[in-house]
Order: sequence, then C-alpha cells, then structure tokens
Amino acid sequence: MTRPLRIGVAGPVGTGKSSLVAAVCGVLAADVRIGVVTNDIYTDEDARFLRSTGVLPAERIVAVQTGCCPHTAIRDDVSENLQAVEELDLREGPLDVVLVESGGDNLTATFSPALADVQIFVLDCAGGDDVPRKGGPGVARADLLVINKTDLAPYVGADVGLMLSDSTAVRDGRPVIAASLRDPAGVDGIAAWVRAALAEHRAGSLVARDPGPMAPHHHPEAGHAHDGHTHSHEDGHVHDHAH
Amino acid sequence: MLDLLLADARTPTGGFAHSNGVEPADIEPAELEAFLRGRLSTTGLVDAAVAAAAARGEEPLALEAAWIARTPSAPIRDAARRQGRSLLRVAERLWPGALDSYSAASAGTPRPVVLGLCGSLAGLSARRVAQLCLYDDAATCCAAMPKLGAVDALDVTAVLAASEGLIAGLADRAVAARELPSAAAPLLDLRSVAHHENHRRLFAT
Repeated sequence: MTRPLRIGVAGPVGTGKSSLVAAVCGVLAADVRIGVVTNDIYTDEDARFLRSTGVLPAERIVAVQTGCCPHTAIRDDVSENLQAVEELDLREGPLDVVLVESGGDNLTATFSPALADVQIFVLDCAGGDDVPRKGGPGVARADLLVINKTDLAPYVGADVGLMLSDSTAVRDGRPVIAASLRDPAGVDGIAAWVRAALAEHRAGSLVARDPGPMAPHHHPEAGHAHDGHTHSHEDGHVHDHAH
Repeated sequence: MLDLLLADARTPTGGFAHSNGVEPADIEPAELEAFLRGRLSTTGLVDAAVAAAAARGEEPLALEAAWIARTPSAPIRDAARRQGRSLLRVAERLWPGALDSYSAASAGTPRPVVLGLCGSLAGLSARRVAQLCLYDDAATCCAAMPKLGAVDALDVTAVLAASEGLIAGLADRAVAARELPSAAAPLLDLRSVAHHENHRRLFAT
C-alpha cells in the first residue's frame, strides 16, 4: 500500500493558509481520506481552528511545536513533521492525503522534498500586490501558487490582475490560482489540483520538485568556459560548485 | 568524529523543538545554572546511565522498561519516544538495517536507549555516550534560553561550558553505578504535564 501523499502548504503569516486548508478539506473530505499536521509558532491555534470548522474528525488534525523555528521544521530538520505524518497515518489511516501546514514564515520558506511530495505557496492580496514581483522560491517554483483573499482587493487597493501576471511571468508555466473563501471556483480549482497530484502519486509518477531556497544562478561549466548557463536546481541536477 | 555528529544539533533529530523543561519551568536566565545542576543530577543522570548501559550492550528492551519505570511523566515519555524515532532515522541512514529488530520490537524507543545503541554502532565507549547524553540535555536547555528570556546567547554558552565538570562527574557516576540510578525531579515531571496542556507554548517539552 502506498503511503499518503504529503502536501506542504507554505506562505507568509496571515495569508489564509488554515482557512484554505479547511475549505479544500470541505470539498474533498467526502471521498478523500485527509489528515492535517499544523506547525504553529507559539500556539496550537491553527489545529484548534481546523478542528472547530468540523471539516474533518478532530483526531485527524495534529499540531507539532517548532520551538520558534517554523522554517527549520519544514526544511532542514523535518523529523518532527515526518513523525507526525506517519503517526497520524498509523493511528487514523490509511490516509490518502496529509496536508502539512507551515507555521507561516517569510518568502524564502519552502518545504524540503523529504517532507512534501508537492507544495502550495499561499500569498494574499492584503499583503501587498507587489509581493509576487518580489518573488522567491515559493512564488516562482512551488508546484501551485495561490493568490488568496481576492475579495479584499478593492478594499486594500490591490490589483489582482497585476499579481496574477507578475506571478505567471516568473513561474515558467506552473499553475497560479486566484482564490477567496467567497469564491467557490478558486477552492474547487485547488481541490482539483490536489486530486490530480494524488492520481500522479498513486500512479507512482510523482517526483517531488524542490522549489529550493536558492534563486536561479549562473556559473560556467568546466570545459565550457564560454558556455555557462543559468538554471535553477529544481530539476535535481547535482553538480560541483567549486569548478 | 561520530560522537561530534551525534552531539550536533544540526543533525536532524528535531532537537530544536524542545527546551527540556526550561520553558515549563519558566526560569530567568540567571537561574539557568542552578536549573541545569538540578536537572542533570536527577533525570539527566538516569538518562545517561540508561544510554551508557545500552552502549555497553545491555538488553535494550529491558533498559527501556527500566527507563519507563523511572520516567513518570507521560508527555516526557512521549517526547522521548518521538525523539528516539527521529534518531532511529539517522541510524538507519548511517548503519542501514543495524537497528531494525530493535525498532520493530520497541514500542517506546526512548531517546536515551536509542542514543546508546547509536553510540555502540559508532564505536563510542559507554563513558563517552553518558557524557554525550548529558551534554545534549544541557545544550538543549541552553539553546532554548535565549528564545525564552532576555539573555545574550554568549552568556548561555558560557553557562554550558561551565557545566563541563558537572557533566564529567555525572558521566563517571552513570557508568560506575552497579544498578541504574532512580533519581527523580518531581517538579520537572509535574510542570511537563501542565506544559503539555498549555496551548501557548513554543517548545514541545
């Protein structure tokens, strides 16, 4: 039997990750067995919020503490999260999908492929419509980018169209979905994306792609002194930076 | 070198999520030294003796039962189980298959037992493992302190360095004891339980 698909949900604090997770669970829970692991910074508020929404049985939602290091817990030392996912699957499973919600961090925080098979990065209109332009690994290379709280755009003077076009410009064809809790189409789109990822996972064809902490960079290859190229590391390409 | 690797918080075993009783105790930075003395001399000594015995090759499941009997706090036992499991992931990568039978047979996987087994695989002496166990305990407390109180991390590092003699003496006792010590710190246990119920906490323990 295959282990559950592990989906990371990252993005800055307050962009609506927990509400989106709840909404997506609400759409999928009828036929997909879902668990959620929350990474809270100094409370188990997110886990309690999710339980209070009633979209999943309370036992399917667990919180891990991150000792003020939400970034570390999803990137360089994922052991607490992996442990939580495995225990959840053993106790409540077999589960199809476990959503791991990051504690909320800055634009450089993305999941290690050791923890997340695929990952969603969440921004919101109220955080400023210049954020997609500022970019970062999550914005540019998360498997799915969500621009959330589009319903607030008129009130905060944010240009959703600009956010979508700036995002699309740096994402090299990867999907972007505009969403708000008042717009079922956005949440349905995310749920459909989750189903597609689950199908790939079950087919064994899903390969975790690391958005990476690093921006694409440039260095000349040995033996090709005049043929250096720019690339990101998402393709798993391993090489020696000392050359 | 593997003793350094096992003592290094950068080795991914989730240590950053723990304060080893410092957050539950709500101490001031000036109290850290006294806190360490109390903790290391009681539960720290028990953990170190168990780790040393596991490193010497004593039956790990019997040691696990003995450790559980000496660790009355359910949240502490549960945290040690998860930390032990995380350390087993490291062991599986460094010594594939070596701890499979223990991993399958053990329900509790307490970190001190797993640390002892890793120490044995790394070729460390029981004394070195006891010292490592105590150092890790102290370093975890110290690393948490600047996140919890107004203190310069350099001051905390100085407190950790000053615990060298204490740790050396306790490591000697941990390996010399003819039977496992049962020193207890009831206040640490009680606070760990209250901490577990606290919804506003930074650290798992």
